[in-house]
Amino acid sequence: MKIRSNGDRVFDVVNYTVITLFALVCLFPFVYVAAFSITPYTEYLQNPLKLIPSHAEFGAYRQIFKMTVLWTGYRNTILITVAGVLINIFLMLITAYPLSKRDLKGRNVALILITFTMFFNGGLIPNFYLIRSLHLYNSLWSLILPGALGAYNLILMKNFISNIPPSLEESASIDGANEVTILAKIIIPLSKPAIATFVIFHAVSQWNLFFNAVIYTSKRELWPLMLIVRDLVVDSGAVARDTSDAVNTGVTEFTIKMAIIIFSTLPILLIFPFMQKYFMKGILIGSIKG
Amino acid sequence: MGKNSHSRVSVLMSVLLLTSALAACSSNDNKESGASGSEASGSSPAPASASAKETESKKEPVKIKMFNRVNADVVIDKNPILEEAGKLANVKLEVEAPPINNYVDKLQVVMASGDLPDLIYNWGTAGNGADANMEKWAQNGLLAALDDKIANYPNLMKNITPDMWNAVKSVNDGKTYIIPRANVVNHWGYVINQKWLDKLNLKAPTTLDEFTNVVRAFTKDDPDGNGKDDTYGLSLSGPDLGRNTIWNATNFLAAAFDLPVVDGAKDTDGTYKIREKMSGYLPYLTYLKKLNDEKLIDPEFLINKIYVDTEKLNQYKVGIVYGHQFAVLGNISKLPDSEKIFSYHGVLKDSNGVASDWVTPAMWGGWMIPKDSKKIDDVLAFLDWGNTPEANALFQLGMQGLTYDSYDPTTKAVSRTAEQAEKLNTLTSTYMTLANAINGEGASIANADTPEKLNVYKTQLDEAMKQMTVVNVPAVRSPKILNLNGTIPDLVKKKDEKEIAYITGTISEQQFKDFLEKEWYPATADAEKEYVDYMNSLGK
Repeated sequence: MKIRSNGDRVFDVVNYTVITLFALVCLFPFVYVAAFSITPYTEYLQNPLKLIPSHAEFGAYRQIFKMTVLWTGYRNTILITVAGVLINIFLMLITAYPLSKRDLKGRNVALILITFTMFFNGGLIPNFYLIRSLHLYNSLWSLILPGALGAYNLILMKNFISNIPPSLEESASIDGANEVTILAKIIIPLSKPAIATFVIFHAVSQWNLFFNAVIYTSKRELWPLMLIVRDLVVDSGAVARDTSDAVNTGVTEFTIKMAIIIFSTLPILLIFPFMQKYFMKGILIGSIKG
Repeated sequence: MGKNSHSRVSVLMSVLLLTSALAACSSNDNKESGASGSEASGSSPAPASASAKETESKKEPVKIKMFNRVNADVVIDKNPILEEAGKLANVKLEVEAPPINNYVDKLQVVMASGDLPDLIYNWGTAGNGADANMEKWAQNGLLAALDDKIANYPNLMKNITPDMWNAVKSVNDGKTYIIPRANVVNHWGYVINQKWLDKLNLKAPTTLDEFTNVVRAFTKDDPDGNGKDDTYGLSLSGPDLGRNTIWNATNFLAAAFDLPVVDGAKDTDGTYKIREKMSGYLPYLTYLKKLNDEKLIDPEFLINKIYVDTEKLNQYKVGIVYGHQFAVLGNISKLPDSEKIFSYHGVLKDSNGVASDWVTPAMWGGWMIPKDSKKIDDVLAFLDWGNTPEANALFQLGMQGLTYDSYDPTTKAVSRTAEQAEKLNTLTSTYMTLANAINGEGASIANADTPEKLNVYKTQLDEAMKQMTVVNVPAVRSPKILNLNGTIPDLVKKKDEKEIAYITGTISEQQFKDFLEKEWYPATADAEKEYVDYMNSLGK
């Protein structure tokens, strides 16, 4: 049994202290925004660093729940996130698996073409034309398909699958499994950590998507949540609010903006803990060999 | 061998799936895109315009595709106010309103796409819409020159002043490619904590000496009564980090030195010159240096981002910030009861007792019409209607019964329930207006929802206007002076830094003067000449 020296203990203390401080630094902005979404504005003015309000005031949430634009944004964002992730993972698996086979004919050409897209793209206007020509303009598909298969993640996934021992596939093949069965029964179960990681990556990216919506949609009912949030929070003008309620509860633009940020980020934050165990494993994918 | 064939099957499978996914999306969208395509083609030719002229009274509403910058709160689809506007102006409006924060991005894409709407709002960096983008689009032949037509539209000619028309003329060919969106005339002054004044038994300052006394008292005499030395007399803020806060709407203070903070006004000797050569330039900076040396001004006044000064005012950390006549009531959305705490006042008087209120043409962007449009006259007629009190009231107040109960255009008093106020926020906003003001005034005063608040606004504005002398400053259309940031960006930055260094005491007055003499004046001589010639050519 290894005996821990004083140096080890000191290292642990320092380690935990630094990690705790780092965690607090990361957590602070969120706690700050959450706290001031339920703090009367007058209390914020008295002490902008006070994180515990004298009483919780949910007037800002009452007001944002009335904003229909946020609910349509939510609906759109959930749709493009769920559909985007499903399509992304599906396309990534069926593309990465064949590309992981070294004896696949044309593999190198395919990889060069895929890598090429990491460094060069058509640019904003050609992409706009492309989306319009494909009849995707003013459709939620324009927010799902353009980023459905990212070259970087695809290469990482390919590398991950390459690391799975070929003997597993060979034995399955001897038992009569075809490629689809091998993919479904062997590759996918063994790739769960990588898949979970890409689910989180892509879900976060889809959840935060806004610029594509600016360019590829012209109808407000298609705006995703983050586009609406950005306009409401960054806009220096007034956020719609019920002034009589505001006077009674001390709700102001500031508290409403804080509440909107919490309202829009909470779902994606809630998903993370459930995916964390896979995420911790998957984060190292592709780091061993190419 | 077997493996290879399996691999090929997999690749084939992936290609097929990708294709089918794309195909599925395309087919799903055919309806929508087909619809938009037909709308686009339908929007190009004006439907039977010749015959429509003959039967004016029975004219079918003209479909106008409008590209506007509207805040996210407003619902565009089936908006009753847009429908009402359509009825009143006999048009069928189809509004596309990208997010305001990315408006220019989307506008540039639309302009590049070639599929242009009938009416396009341009906000631009110049504030009046006649910016570099407009010049570029005009040069590229995308915009219609409107000089020959605008005289036919009486409301446009009445509501848009000659100064505004001059302000938007192209600097390249002198033509008019944009119809200004007339805005409310702002009279910049200052907002002060009235409660502090009352507590310290002081009056709102009208001269520089009085101002200094008030600022000193706000800083030293514990105006908030908390027993701590935690307040400052004054704070400033800037719209972005690239511009010095000391020039951002600081009319109230610069006026005491006869120093216009906008281009286009004369110096005390009656001649035009660049700001850095004006008689009040150095005294103004020296005064700010004095406030800074004596710690009478918010120590962050040089780096505050826009609205941070107002936040400090609301936090009772500072007592004075710049503001216009709408600032006190506007602040209610940030601090309820704002009108009971703060008051608005005009600019300070100079040594001759004159309080100069420099007013630039009040515009908030403008409207462009594509050159290839077959509906130019219809669109101009729509804009003409947009410059009537009827249209202004509709877009600012909404509709009676829906967003308000009663409205008196003379007093601007509006009565509405909480429910109607909430509806108003989702149905319209000032962003929706075709003209945001008629004769320099809006249909209502923001947040003046009681007679008491309206009275506060009127009393304070009347008092300020009694004290001030309005100086109408024409818009400067002199490219070189407007584009110093583009031609000598490093030197502009250096000049800003030198101003700050002088105020904070890092360099002496002589060092600052040396910089101006040796570097700034020579580098800007050409631009200054063009600017002075342009201003003199206006004959004002």
